[in-house]
Amino acid sequence: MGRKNSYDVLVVGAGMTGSWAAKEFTEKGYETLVLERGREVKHIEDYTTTNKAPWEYKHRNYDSKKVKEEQFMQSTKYNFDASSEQFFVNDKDHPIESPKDKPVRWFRGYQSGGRSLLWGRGTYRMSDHDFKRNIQDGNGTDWPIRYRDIAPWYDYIEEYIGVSGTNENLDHYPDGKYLPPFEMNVVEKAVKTKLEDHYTDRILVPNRVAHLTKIKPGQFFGRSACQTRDMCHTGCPFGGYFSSNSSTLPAAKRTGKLTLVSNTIIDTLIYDEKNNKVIGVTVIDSITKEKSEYYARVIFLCASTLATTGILMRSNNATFPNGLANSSGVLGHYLMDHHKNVGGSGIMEGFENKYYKGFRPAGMVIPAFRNIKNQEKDFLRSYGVWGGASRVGINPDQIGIGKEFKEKLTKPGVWKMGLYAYGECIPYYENKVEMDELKKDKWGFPILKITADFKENEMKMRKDMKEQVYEMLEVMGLKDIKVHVGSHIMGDSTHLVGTARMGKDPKTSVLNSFNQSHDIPNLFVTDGSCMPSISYKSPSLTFMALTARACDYAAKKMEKREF
Amino acid sequence: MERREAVIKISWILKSALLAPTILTVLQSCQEQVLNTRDLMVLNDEQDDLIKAIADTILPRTESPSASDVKVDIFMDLLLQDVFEDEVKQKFLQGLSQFDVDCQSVTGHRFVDLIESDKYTYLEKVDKEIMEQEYDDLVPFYYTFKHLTITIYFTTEQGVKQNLNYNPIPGSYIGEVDLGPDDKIIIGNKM
Repeated sequence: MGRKNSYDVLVVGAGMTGSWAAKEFTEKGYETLVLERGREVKHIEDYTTTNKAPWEYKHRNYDSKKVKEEQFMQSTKYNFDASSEQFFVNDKDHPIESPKDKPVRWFRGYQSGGRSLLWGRGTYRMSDHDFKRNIQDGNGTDWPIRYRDIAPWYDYIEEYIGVSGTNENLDHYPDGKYLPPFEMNVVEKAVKTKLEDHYTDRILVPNRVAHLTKIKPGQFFGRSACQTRDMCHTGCPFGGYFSSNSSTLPAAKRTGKLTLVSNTIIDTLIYDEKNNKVIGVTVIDSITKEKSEYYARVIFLCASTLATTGILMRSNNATFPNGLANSSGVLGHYLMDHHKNVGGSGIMEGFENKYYKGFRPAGMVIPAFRNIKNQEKDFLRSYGVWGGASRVGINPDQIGIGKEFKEKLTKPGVWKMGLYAYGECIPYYENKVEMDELKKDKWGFPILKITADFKENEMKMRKDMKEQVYEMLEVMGLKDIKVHVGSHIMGDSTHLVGTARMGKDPKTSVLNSFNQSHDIPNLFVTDGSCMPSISYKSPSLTFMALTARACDYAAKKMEKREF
Repeated sequence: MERREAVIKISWILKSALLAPTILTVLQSCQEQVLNTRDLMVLNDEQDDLIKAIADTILPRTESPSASDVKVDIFMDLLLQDVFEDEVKQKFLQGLSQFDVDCQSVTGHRFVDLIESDKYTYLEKVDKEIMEQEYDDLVPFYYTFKHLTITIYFTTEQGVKQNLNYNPIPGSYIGEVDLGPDDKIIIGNKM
């Protein structure tokens, strides 16, 4: 090679999956370039808010009018506040479009580490129940892999990132390589017993989360155990939870083979028609808008679901007029997310002399129990229920004033147990992303137009979710139960996946079973866009595992000089 | 919901517009953006005095500071300037002024002119009337005011450290510990 700006591997995006690609290729000895459109966020030193107290922020826990104007979409996310706002994009600079009657939310973190700084840390294996859903009910296309194909890669990722949890021996909720779980508190233990005595198909167990609960010295390369501050979204100076910044990016850097270029936006992929391969990318510097090019033998797109699909769309050419690597025509379609905001809570009496220590950054989970053995309900697919118990803290909404009231405010309040459900969404062709050629962002790139919503099946599921949340809270022996059904906005769960799906047939899918483009062999896509279905489980572990698996596959091809 | 007649007239305010997304928790060492005493931006002195008087009746000085000791009023002024939309701001100010009108019609005095024990007696009645009801999206002025007073108080350094068990780095989670009669809420740095 020897050409300027030339590398073995070029990875687009330094988030959850791109950083895994960087680690895998650099550790295999390949010169790897990672292009990141945002700034670099260095572990620890760039976590500028992580030791701040609320009174150290001008507006404390309120978002000012200015912030709400500039980050009007991002600020609707549950973990957006003055301590985390620096890890979210400015919506004015990053507009999207969606029809008025179908609002969409796209939460974005444009920096190295991406949204691995902001994720909920839920870490689940998809099972064959999940992989077979599409083929069983005829929606979407069949996954080209099964559990046995990905299981070793789940092992590999879990052991590296550190996941706490319990093994439960359930087919549809496969066990993994877990560190000890976070402890359950007294009320959670009590409601677990009641729930499991009542139902034969449900368990309540500590959630599986990417937190280091108990570790041996040196086991995680300088990361230390979770200190239960529950401030994950400021960046964790202990490395107590997995982020690319604390784990995979430093690993890639240690090899000396990583080149990370920040503030660099992909313009298009450069396609060599004669040899049917991608040879590099044209980019612009996000600050100076200066153009340049980079070249590589293999390209991995890990920019996040919508961003990756947008890059393929705007890399269209004479051979691929509808988007690069899109001979199938499905690029942009089958966008999915989890639907949420169905939940409830109740009060538990009888444990007033008990408390806990620490702000546990994880709760409990009741894995799916609907449509598991058979199709039994009037909706397809399933949902999981998450929750937990804690004592109410400062409670201003009670009667009282004066000295005694002030004293009362400082005492732990009642125990409350909450449950909230997350449901699977069927892949629909009409849930899609397109380019609006007429509207450009400040760098001159077409704005993405997203048309997607949840439909009849999800609405039926939500009805059952509500009923079951109420029923389970009753079974648990809780008092003063309140359930609510809130909004269902696509993107609100920050699990947008699909739009460049894997599949067996090149005519109906973009990627093969190794996340390799059916059309262009040295092009891989391993972020959430590759998923043919979403299951009801948070997707991060699955696309990390698919990334490592694709890297292994691509590296073997590179060894044979196929690329 | 049935809204029965209250002791005071009610200025309804949209709950979501006023309340912080989470009821906080708090923690350590100040610098940078901390508010110091400074000129009021929105409130006039009369409004400010009334706010301090109500807030201090809710949270009086004990072994720990009162609401006005930790400048709850100054932060409310900042919220009115930088956080609340104009409509909410106007409703808040209207509610504040209505509060005093109601107080005068019931007691014959402006709230700030009542002696301490009468302030307590009057506000206790108002408090009970308002706080024993449940609300959906709209809440009365006093509900909002009380909520703000308390949540702001417990995001100040003194409010936290002198009233609660401040523990910003707990270490590993322990699911069961005994709670004694004198034990306080444990609080960290999370907002």
